[in-house]
Amino acid sequence: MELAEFRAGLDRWLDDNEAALRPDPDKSATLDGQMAHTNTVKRLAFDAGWMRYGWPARVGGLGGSPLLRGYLGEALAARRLIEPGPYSLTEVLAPTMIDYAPAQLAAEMVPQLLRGEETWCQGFSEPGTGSNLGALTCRATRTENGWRINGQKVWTSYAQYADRCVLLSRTGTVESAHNGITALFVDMDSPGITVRPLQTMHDVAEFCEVFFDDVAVPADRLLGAEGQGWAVAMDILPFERSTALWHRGAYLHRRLQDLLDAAPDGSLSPRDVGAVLEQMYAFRARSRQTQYRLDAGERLGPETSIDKLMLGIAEQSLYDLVPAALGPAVVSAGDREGRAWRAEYLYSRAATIYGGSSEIQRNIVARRLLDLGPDR
Amino acid sequence: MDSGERQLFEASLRQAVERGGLFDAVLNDVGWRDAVAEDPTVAASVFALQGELNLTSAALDDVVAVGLGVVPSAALAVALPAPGAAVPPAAGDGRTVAVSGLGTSRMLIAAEVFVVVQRDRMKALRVTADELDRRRISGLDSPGSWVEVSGSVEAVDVSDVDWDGGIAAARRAIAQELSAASRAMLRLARDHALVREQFGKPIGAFQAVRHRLADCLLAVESADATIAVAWADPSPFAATMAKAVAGRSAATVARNAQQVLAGIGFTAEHPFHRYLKRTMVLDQLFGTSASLTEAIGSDVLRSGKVPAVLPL
Repeated sequence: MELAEFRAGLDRWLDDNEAALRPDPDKSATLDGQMAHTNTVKRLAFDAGWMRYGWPARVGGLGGSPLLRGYLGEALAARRLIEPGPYSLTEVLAPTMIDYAPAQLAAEMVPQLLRGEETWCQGFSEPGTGSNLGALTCRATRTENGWRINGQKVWTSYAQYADRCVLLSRTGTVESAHNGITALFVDMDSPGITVRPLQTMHDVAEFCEVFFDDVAVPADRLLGAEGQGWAVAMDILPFERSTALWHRGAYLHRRLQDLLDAAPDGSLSPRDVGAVLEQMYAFRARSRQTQYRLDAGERLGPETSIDKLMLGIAEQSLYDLVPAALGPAVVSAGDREGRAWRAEYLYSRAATIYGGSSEIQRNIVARRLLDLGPDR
Repeated sequence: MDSGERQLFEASLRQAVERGGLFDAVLNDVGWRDAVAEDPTVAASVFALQGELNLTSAALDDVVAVGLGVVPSAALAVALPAPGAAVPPAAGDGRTVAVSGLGTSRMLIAAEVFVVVQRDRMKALRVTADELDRRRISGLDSPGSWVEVSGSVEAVDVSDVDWDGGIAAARRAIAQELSAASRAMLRLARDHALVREQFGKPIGAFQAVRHRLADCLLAVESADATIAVAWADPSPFAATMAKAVAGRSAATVARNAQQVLAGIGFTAEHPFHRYLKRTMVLDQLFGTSASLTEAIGSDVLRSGKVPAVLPL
């Protein structure tokens, strides 16, 4: 299916099914409600076919360009039918499974993610390795039937809801750094896994600590080859910085409109609004090129760090307008809208931290795009 | 032009420039005016090269002429808005109108000058160049690139003109030159950071320097993404966005590149200052980035609507 046809058909379907797709405002005030609703929308969209486009047939997809996935997430986010964070995790994790999981495992698992029957998480960061991912220590030891995991992950988004985890583990020596990492697909109900949600400053248990205590993982849950985990991670990151960012950008456009609607007259300066719009426009222009490169089958790489930096800047500039325009509501309102703006403002402070901090992105730009050589 | 023809055009342009000679003469030889009249996006190639190599030319006259709906000619100069302004260089409903604007170097040698007059509807007239006072400006940019034009002329034979089209064409071309000049400043700073050693290693090994250079690339890529949209989408909005983002990006790159180049970049013998000055002048033409940003914001606040997003 071509994009134009997809767009027209999807828009019509979204109009026709508004009632079923619209989140209940009371329920969606909690993360529990948001997670459940995101999966409901995915299921409805999957059953109607929309969620299957852009994915290959061997994982339950209907084929077609990844642009179709870009537009689906954009349309859902712009209409505020989903939360872009949990929704777009699919864009990060499904491609990894398609590229690296054994064919049978991918065919069995990916459709459950696409249809919203399952939630997955990404076990990357550790207490000692935030930016320095290559130093991770959560250990996987070979056993007769597979692997045994011991260690800890942290900042694992939505782990308390997750049925599966794409886990980066240490199989070589710590000195082997990037070469001694192995990616595994782990069932979150395995004995020995303890999930402890962390309360964030915006009052949502968005991410968790995950403890692994002699957790057994079958041999057929290996993603890629032993020692290839770094390559798996490096291939995930560009997905995190392409389709998922496009969805988030669409959500931010919608929120700028919501802010204009809510702001009292005269509370926003033309210069500030113009600057934010320019940043969001420039991001969208850039990310659009990235979507088309993905469509052309190009391999995305370090240049997507530019996209990530641009979105972080745009997102924080947008939410910087919120205290200026809605200050009293942000600091003291108890109503739903006030709480939402307050939470989103606070959450936006993390936009330059999560998914590879802006400092790491700048390091990548300097090393890989400007070819400045080693930094020490 | 298809992409093959475009590459050929760019290659011949670059070769001719490397052989030497004035950029205007080179443009003449490659048939630039016919090319831009047929396909306005050819200006992307010319202004990118002009920005990269810090060249000057009268190509802006041709670009604006085509945007205004006029056949470009080497004998036709276009009166541009004065620096800092984005309004026509003449105004008034009377029989005589006062002209006060800017020209490229062509203003001194052209036989005719094309003047847009601000009235209820935008009008245009052609006047003999002798009727206007034309003085070289000794300003920031390289000598001879800009000319001040003024005088009173008879408003006879006025015709309708597509002023918005002219402005949009100018903004696209200038944005392209700004971004190419920005990339050139970044290249100067990046190359310097690789060879200049302090504390026993190249300064490009220090994160403080690396992050400045990364910010430069971020700025240039932001500009290029919006400029690419503007060449594909002829709307005035896309052109305005491109000019605003490119102007702001150029200032960011200039500030960071200057700091990385440090002492050597402050000398007259180093090429950096010529790019800095050129981008400062370009930002003043057809709306500064600051004024465009404010105008974009005002439009949004007045209408209460965020402009429709770029579709996939």
